Amino acid sequence: MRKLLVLIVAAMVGIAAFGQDVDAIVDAYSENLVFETSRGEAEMLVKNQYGERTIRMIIHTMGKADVLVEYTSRAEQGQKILRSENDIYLYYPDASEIVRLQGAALRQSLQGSDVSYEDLTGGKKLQDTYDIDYISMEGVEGFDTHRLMFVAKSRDVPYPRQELWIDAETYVLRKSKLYSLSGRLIKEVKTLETRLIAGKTVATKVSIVDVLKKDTETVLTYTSLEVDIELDRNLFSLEELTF
Amino acid sequence: MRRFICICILFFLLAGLYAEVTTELSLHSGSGYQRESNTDSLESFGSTGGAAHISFFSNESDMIRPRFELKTTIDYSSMGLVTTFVEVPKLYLKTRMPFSDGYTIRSTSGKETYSWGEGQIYNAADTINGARYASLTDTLGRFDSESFVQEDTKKNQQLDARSVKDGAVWGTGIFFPMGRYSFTEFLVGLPIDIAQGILFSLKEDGNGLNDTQVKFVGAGIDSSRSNRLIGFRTQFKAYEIKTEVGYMYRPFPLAAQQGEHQPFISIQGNLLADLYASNAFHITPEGDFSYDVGAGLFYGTGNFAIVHALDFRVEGLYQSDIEKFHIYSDIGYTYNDIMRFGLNSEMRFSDGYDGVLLNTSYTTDRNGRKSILQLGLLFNTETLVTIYYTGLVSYAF
Repeated sequence: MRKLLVLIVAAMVGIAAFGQDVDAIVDAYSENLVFETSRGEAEMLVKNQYGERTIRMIIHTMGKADVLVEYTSRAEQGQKILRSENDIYLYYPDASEIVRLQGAALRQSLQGSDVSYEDLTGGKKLQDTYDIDYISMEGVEGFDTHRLMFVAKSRDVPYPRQELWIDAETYVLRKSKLYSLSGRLIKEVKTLETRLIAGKTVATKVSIVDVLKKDTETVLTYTSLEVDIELDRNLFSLEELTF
Repeated sequence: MRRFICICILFFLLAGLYAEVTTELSLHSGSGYQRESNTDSLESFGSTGGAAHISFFSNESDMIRPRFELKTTIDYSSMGLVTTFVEVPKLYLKTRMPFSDGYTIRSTSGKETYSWGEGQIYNAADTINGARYASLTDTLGRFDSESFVQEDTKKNQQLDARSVKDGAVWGTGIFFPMGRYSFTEFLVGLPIDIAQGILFSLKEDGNGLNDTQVKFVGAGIDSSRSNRLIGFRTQFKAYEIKTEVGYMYRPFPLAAQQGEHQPFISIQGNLLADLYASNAFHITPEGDFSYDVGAGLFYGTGNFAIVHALDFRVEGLYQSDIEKFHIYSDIGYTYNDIMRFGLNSEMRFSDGYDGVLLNTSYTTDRNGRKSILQLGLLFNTETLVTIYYTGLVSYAF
């Protein structure tokens, strides 16, 4: 009986310790993703069975929620995306039109890539959105990682189940697999390059593969990234979107 | 004329050196048969041609944004008519000035497209472009070979509302921010119509091409609408519903000899499906009153991805002045990230059944190289039956 009690207490302590660890890991991972402000120039290489094309863009961010993307490559020149905490707005210079995306429209592909507009949504604390379980410690391409399973608490998220491999030392994402509610694998994400910026390890080259499509891959590369710079909050506004 | 052409060439060379440039080239073709049962006559029609659209702009400055676009469409029709349409889709200078608390007031001077209200094919609150965009409805009457080229290009892109709003306005717009996600926009259209384009046409009479006609086309191809207008809109979000209210005054809206006051409202939100509705009133100074009211919904399925997805859109519009009710529906199946099959229809009712058009489309987008192929069948109350195909390929670079 005494042994049983000791085992139960030990198990409870262990669970509590693991729980703290998971929170700490997720907090460190989330913290790593966010800067007060940032301005980056990026290239999105979209590969499919018909060839490749490169889409260039400038990405401004402020905190977790505010993102402004402006395409600079010729075919998409002037198109912009504004993400706020609850909305995504698109701007098409040809028609001078603001389109607010909601619901099913968010599932559309971002410029024919493996990324959907839904992937841009978010900004909420991960622990508020998902139940998170620690699976194990695993090696991913030479890096020790924490393997975590995220299960959504509600249905209003793009991916109800996610499996993340987070670097044990730098807390950068090394790999993730995104699943549907039924457990079907939808997308795979891999970090190809990282860079140390302002004391944080940032993924600067990421591969995204939509496994439901045939022979496709999208590689997003930051060619430059400045962080914690002075940005006007009004940069993230409909006025800027339509200028 | 020669001097003008030289100046234009010089301008393009200089603009090309200092501005950024994008170009879109397209080829289009369309043909069909039309049968009128009361005369039992069978008539064929068709046209083929191409278009070049070039844009010069600069995004270097945070305070000034100039843009100039030139588009030329050339078409040869089965009636032996060669038409060349040269237009300036956009020519504007956007400038902004600091206002307060980091906000700026922006003015747009020149020719620019304005998209007010909500709706894809029908938008009752669009008091600038009209409640019905160039759409399938244009073919509900008899095909007009002469205008086929212009309408053809629009019809081929009718699933994309961004491309069918062609009613750019010469004038000045003032954009006044009222927070990060709300604003008021004022618009004044110039009190005189300025030619939107130049149409050259040549008729083949068996001895070659002659009988040149050159005409300036005011207020776009649809010259029944006037650019003369003054109005404003305010856009804001109320309980997660995007709301737009505004007012437009058109001195001579539809060649009528009296002005019209046009208050309007539109909303957009999501409740399982994307829902939107628009409404505009048309009130003359004499107190005559009519209204346009429209609504639509869009729903799509898919495994969090773009492949093997179904989408469905339906829109309705009632125009009280002509007592017509229009219904547009579109069902699309996206096979993969480059191919979409669509079946759309448009029906028009007045006192009774007026017309119906069934249209199938096959759309591909291979990394900027777009192609659209359409097959259609049209019936109307004159028991006119038309079967047609249209095709369009375009490449932007």
